[in-house]
Amino acid sequence: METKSSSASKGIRIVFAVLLLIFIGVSAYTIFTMYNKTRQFEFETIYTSDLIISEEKKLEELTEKRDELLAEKEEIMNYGSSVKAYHDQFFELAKEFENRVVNGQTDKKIAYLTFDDGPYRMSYKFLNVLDEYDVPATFFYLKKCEEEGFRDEWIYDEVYKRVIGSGHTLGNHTASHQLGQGGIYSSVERFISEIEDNRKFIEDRYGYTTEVMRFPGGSPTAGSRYEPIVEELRKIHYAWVDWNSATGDGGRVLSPQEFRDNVLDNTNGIKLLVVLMHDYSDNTLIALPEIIEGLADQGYYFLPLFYDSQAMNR
Amino acid sequence: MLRKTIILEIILAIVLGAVAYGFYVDYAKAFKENQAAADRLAEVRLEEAQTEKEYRELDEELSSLRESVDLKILEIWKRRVAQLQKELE
Repeated sequence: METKSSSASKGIRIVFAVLLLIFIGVSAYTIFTMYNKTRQFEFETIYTSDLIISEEKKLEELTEKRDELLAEKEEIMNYGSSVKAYHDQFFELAKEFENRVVNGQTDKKIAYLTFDDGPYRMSYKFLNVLDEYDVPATFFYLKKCEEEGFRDEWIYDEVYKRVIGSGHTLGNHTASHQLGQGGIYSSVERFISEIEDNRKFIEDRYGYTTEVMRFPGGSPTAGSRYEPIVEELRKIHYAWVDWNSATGDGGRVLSPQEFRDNVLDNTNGIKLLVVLMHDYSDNTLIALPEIIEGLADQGYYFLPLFYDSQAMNR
Repeated sequence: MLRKTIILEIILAIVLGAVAYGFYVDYAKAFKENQAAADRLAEVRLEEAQTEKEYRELDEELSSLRESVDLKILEIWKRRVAQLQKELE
């Protein structure tokens, strides 16, 4: 009986031992598998982390590009106010720059290139030169067209649009420029109506409001009407300007070199130089690049005229 | 003899169990980190795809907007402001 019981106990122990052995085997296999899997995960994590870094960099670049487009879109949507904001900022800076020049806080001087009596068929060529040198100027234009048939040509409107669209100043030079008896200086009312007529023409046709003007022939031509006229000009918010430098192209025809020298040899260190020219003259057109380069060499910075400019009378 | 073998096997099983547990902890940690990295990658890629979609839509929208508005004057004023600011520095 005892032998039978001992034999059964031995059998159980053997089964137990075998089961333990199987457990050990399974455990060892599991450890091996887990070890391999852990290494694989670690490797994958390192690889994925590298990928994340490069993807995040790509995302950052893409976000930057998208934000640039968003800013551009906002700028386009607010186009009118953006243009006005930069326009206003420019003239605020121009005022500050003029102050520094006038107060001797800088060696620089300012030149205001002005063109009277246009528009002309040739005006486009002048605008090309100014564009080429990236120089802003001021055009004192008339409602009356000096050249016959020009107003009916498509380029007439284009000249105005380009003057306005290139950041130049469009000034008022009266509607007709008619001098002499019965002309613009025959009465204060006549002169102001000429100014208003041209202002309305520019506003209605091109949506541009001008606040600067030049007396045809210069302010002394107004004679005794000068004071009452400027009183009226103040009331309708106009500033006016003459000139302290000229090519002389309004008088007899001179060579381009003479036009150039008339300006460059007579700057006399003037801090705010207002140069009178006409955009109908071939020789002025030829001289213009050298005038711009020569003035720049003499330390002149180019600005368009504006209402609050120190070069203007108000 | 059999008893000794069983005792040895029990000890070995306990040791192996402890070692297996240690490995399991490492495994679980690596698995978690791997999963987190994979999730982050998926998240970044999704964000990237969305941003790219937005970028392309904006680019398309802007190309027609750019045509409708003459940006030249805006560029001119911007450039002039920058030039004058430089001059004032």
